Amino acid sequence: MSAETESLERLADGGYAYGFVTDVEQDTVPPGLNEDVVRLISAKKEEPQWLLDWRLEAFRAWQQMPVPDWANVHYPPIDYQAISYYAAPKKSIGEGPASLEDIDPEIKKTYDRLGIPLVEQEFLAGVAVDAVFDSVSVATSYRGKLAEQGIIFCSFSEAVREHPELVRQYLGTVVPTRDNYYAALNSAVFSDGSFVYIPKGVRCPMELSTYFRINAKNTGQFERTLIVADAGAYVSYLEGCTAPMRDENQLHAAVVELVAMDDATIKYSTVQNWYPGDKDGKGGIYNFVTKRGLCKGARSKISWTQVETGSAITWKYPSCVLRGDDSVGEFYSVALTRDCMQADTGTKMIHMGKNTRSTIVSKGISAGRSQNAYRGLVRILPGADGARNYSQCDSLLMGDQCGAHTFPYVEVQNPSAQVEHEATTSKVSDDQIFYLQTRGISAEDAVSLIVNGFCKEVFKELPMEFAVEAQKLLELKLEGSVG
Amino acid sequence: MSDDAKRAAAPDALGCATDWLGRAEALAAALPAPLRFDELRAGARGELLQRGLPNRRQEVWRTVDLNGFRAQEFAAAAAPRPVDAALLDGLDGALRLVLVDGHYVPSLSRRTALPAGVTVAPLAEVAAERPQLLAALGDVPAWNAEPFSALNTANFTDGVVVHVAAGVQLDETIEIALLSSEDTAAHPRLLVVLEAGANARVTELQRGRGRYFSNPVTEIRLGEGAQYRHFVLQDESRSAWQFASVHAELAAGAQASLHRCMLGGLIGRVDLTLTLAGAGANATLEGLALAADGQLLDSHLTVRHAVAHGESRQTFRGVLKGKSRHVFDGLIRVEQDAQKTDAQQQCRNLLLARMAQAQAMPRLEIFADDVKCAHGATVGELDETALFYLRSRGIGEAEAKALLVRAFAGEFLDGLDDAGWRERLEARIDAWLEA
Repeated sequence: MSAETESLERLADGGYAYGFVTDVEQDTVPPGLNEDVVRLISAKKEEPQWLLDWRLEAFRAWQQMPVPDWANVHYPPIDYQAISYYAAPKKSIGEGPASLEDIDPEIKKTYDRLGIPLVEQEFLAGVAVDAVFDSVSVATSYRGKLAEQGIIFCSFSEAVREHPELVRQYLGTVVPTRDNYYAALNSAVFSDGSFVYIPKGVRCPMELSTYFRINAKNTGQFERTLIVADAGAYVSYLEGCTAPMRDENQLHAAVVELVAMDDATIKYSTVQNWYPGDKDGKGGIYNFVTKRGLCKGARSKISWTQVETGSAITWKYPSCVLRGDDSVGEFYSVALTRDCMQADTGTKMIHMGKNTRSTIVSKGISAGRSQNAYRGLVRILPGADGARNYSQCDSLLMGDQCGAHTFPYVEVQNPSAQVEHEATTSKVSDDQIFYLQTRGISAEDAVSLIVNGFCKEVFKELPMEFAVEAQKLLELKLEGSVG
Repeated sequence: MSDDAKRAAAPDALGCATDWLGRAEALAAALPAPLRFDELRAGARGELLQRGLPNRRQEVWRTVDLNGFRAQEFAAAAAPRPVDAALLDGLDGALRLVLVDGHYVPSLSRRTALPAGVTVAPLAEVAAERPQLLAALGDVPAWNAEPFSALNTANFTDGVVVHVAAGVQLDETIEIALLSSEDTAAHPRLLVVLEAGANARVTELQRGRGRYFSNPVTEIRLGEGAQYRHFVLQDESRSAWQFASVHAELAAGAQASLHRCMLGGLIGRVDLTLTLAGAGANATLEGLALAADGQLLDSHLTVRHAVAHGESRQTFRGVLKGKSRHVFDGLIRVEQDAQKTDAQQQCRNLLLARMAQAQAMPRLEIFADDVKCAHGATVGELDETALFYLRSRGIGEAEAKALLVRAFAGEFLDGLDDAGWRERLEARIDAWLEA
């Protein structure tokens, strides 16, 4: 092995800095899944009958569905009966926290260590955080300020209680209960999540943010997020994830639905840094997520940006259904895998409306013994006159034990469409590192510089604070480190 | 359930109107001893029985609906039927082997004296006279499991063997015609073995009239430093079903250049796997698909770089008109040991009609870090401005279109080193556009 490969490998070795467990009493349902568990979850959350029926329908569909095996990931079969489907921090059961001061100090400490600006920092950071600790939203800030403009930003269960008509109108319209195995499972047992509604013509004055934490042992996390931007509205939503160190694999099957009406814009940014398992692939999160946005109105726009640096397995395809004429879909992704991580991620762009446009920029970085796959679909339906797509998928390989794969699917049914796909695979070249070293830059910084340059197109799409965080995260991940 | 019981429950074990397995068994008993290949054929029948024909739930068969095929009845042609000699248009060399309905037809073929060390002969003849040349036949088990290859293996009665000894260069182009008559099923088998440093060139024509099923399988083995060029004109009837397979393996330094122009078939599908098994091997795969109303042209290529310093190029083009479909599914797989691989893959589609549909799946699976791999796919219509420019120069619309389509197909044509075929294809493209 060359000295350079060695240093790259050490560089890719950065430990998991966010591995700690908060000691909070949990109200957990015993492991297992049947209709009674679904009813119990629904009852605990005091849900209306229609939602229970919806969950049960999803559960019945799920039971009939085969486990998907087409993705380029390998893991032992999951025992869905060994998972507990509900966990809530005990102290928040009942009336719920009246104010930020009422939340469990342990939880607060966890957030502080993650650097989440929840209390003092909230004003400075100007970020409204809907923090999800395991399954129940424990704190929501800036509610009042947002409410002034008619913006609804609350936990999903709260939305079901207070805005049932909105939830009922949009829930499952983008990701139907039977969409896929994990979406069906989520629909049956989802615990909580976020709900956002931006009324007509309102530009959301701040970035909305949710930090997800998986905490209780053996608890699958089934988040449900629904964001609706009414005509002319704008919202930028941030989702950031870190999870404490674990030995057992944890399942995470979230569903995110976005709906953009005429002229509305939704920007959804994710930094995912869940525990990827140890160096030998032991433990780590299974991240099977369904994210889809519907550009329902004309001239609407949905933009996904993701920085995926964690999870033992990532199975995630944030997609856009471009139904409105002139609507725009975007997907910017950086996926970093190292050690034994496996990622199968990409996007789907379904062009239905006239003059719809989509852009896909995907950057995959594989190190160690990891496998990193881009899987994408661009489909132009017969009605999508003048549709346009540009896709670019680049892979960077660090080390000779890893794999980088690209599986793009292009399906065009309209001659006026223009579709382009490009992909390259390369490694951090000796020349590049040598050149930077001759300029007095250490090998570690050189690699960091090269990797950041490789990802720049994606990072520039992230909101500023997030971009800084993402860049740091990548450096941290690649740290440990080079010399 | 025993095999017998299974068959009793469904006389056509593969769910087809044609009893493929029953036919294969009858054939196995009737064939002359040298052509039996008992083990190989029994294996193929076993695979078919066990896996059946593919369905759309299988990823590589997602693009084809086989229900239409299952409903078809095709006759087993015990002997070649007379065919129109016009089907041989374009083959005027001195070395020509013609198969009709999977059987060699001496009266249509031309054999010439060949240099020492070169065998170009019907498979049945080689099996009887020089069986040692068939050692490589069907020696890739995984590939034989592929359903339509297995169907051929279980059913072939004849084919063509090309064997060139080490260091021998064959200047004469080997012409092979696979012709089909109405309502038949043909399973011709081609085996090409070039020993180290050998050099040969094949031009293959696939044609027929009416509705029939053509199931050719080609195996290519290239020794160290061998050079091989193979041009296929898939010009089957527009109501034919073609499921073709090609399997190639290249030793160190070998060069293969495979060109395939596809025009025919209600469904015209090819499954090609090529392995660069030796260092410094080089493969060029070029394709041109002209799909007209009602047709599905479906190409599935896998290029596997097993060792270091291999180079491969895949360029496939599709021109589509009417309600047609073109599928390009290409995979470059770079194994962990295949450092310094240089692999490229391009698929470009030109849609000339509203209902035409292009699907491209240019896939990469890379397990080595020091490689150069790129792929690209584009789909679009004729460039309006280019068309306008030509028309402003007084060129009529049809002619301008033909010019642009010919330019689009140009790179494929340029890759052909046979001027005669280049001209013939240009004329074909023009005629195709007008039709």
